Amino acid sequence: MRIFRTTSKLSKPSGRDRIPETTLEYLRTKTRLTLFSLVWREFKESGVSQSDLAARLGKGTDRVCKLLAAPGNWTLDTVAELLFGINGGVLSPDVTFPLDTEGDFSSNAVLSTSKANSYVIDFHKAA
Amino acid sequence: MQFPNKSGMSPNRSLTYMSIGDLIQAGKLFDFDPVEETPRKLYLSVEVADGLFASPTEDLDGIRRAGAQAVLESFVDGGFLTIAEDPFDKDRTAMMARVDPVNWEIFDFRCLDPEPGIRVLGSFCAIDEFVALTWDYREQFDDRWPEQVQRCRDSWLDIFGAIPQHKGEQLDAYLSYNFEAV
Repeated sequence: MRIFRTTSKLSKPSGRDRIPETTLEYLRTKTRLTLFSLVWREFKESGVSQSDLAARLGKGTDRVCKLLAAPGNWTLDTVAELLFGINGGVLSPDVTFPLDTEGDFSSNAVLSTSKANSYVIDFHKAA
Repeated sequence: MQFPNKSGMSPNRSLTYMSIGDLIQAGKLFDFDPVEETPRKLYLSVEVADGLFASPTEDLDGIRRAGAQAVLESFVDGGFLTIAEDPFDKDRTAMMARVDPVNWEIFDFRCLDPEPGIRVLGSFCAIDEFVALTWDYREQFDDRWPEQVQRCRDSWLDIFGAIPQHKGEQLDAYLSYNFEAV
């Protein structure tokens, strides 16, 4: 069986070993997309228009439309501004440890995304 | 994050599932995540599996492939997508776009970072289920879009034969949640 998930092929960092640039790019993109989904979830649930959000942030509507089209140029400042502008939200990040085996999570780790997804799907099925 | 209601499976989708299973058995398609049930499904052609997901190389092309892998993984995990419906009037940064001619039912994953990025072409085989058929580095599309689109269409015909792509009037026929037309 072939495995395509990148996380299943990564090595846990150790010592001073250089992390491959491909790994860093994967993680940069994955993190941007995770934040993008988070912002869009809040935006959809808020019911705020892009025009109103632009006014709140003192930006043009075109600029906000562009920011919400893709997270390519986002910075942490962008996320902070969008979240607060949408509904007064503040980012509350957490860290997962996908390279640790199940049952071997450190005390402050949380579930992997895919495992969390499966729990939610099971919940919907049972409902 | 919202998740689809998986209980509303149509008879057509079941048929597609059977066909997909046969194609995976025959080695013509790969299931991106055959282990866990995921919010969306992604199937890979041999070209995408062996090329885009080839062993990583620490050069610009390898780094671009790593970024594209994260984009496809986000699709599988139910991440938010911006989609351009009109091939000739789309936001420059849309994450996915319909490709001309639209009646060929080909969509383009626009993996934009790092520039100039990668394009992954394919079609939906059911709602929330995408088959990634062909891919290439963005510069290989510059004056070869028709050729690249034809290659994707040929790939579908080669793998699926007479079985048509999933079709719908609106984008919500292709994705049930977490997307926005741009």
